[in-house]
Amino acid sequence: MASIKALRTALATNLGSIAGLRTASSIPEVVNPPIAVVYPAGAPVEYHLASQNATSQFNFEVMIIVGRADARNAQDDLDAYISTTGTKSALLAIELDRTLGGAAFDCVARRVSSYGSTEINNIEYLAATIQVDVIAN
Amino acid sequence: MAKYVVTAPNVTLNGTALTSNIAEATLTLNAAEVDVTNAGSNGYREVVGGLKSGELALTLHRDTAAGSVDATIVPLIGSLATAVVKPNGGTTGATNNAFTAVVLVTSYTPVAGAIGDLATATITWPISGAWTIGTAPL
Repeated sequence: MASIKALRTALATNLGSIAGLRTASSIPEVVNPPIAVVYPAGAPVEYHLASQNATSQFNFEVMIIVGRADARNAQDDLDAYISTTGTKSALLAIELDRTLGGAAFDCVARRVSSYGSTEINNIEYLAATIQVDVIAN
Repeated sequence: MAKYVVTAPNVTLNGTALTSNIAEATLTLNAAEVDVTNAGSNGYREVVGGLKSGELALTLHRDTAAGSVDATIVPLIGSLATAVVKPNGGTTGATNNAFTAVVLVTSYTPVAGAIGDLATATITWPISGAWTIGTAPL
């Protein structure tokens, strides 16, 4: 079975290809935007997709936090990260190496599932969440 | 083993293991129903077993790697191939019989699926000739 830590680390590595975007493969105590945080989410693992547990689906979320919700350019920045094109596109970065360095069979960014302000340590940040499916053994 | 949850059907085709790509496996063994109802049947229908047949149905996770699913099956289309199916793991035994049959590889779908879906192929192949049931541990 693939290591969940290895998968989220590899996703963070892919996201690290975006210049200026910090990444975290585990949830940090303090955020320093812009940052993409990778963590298991939803039903994190669906086992037994193939015989002898040869394939499982791992579900992750990538939360991209761009800055204080009231910052002037926060929304422009976040829009760039969730766009389908451009040098800041998280979609393109996540799928840059769909095998996640050989740790997975494939991965796909499914959707942006949320967009808006989120409170972290009593500060309102603007953030979006991208759902990512990873197929691995 | 008594009752069990399906987690490990084991399938080989011409000796190539497909197991790690099997999402679902169904082996059906049939006998034709031949009507022998007659005047002495006292108003009831009577049947006897006729020709035996069967089919192997699989849902496979497609894989284009050398030696994997596509490379194994595509060259066999239109040909007979030996399939060995075990219900629960690779070790043959009294509680995990090895069903061996020659199947006719009639079809395969190397391209299928909606955008975003896991690539799978669903096949149903008829059995040709006799099947055997092995119980000896391997």
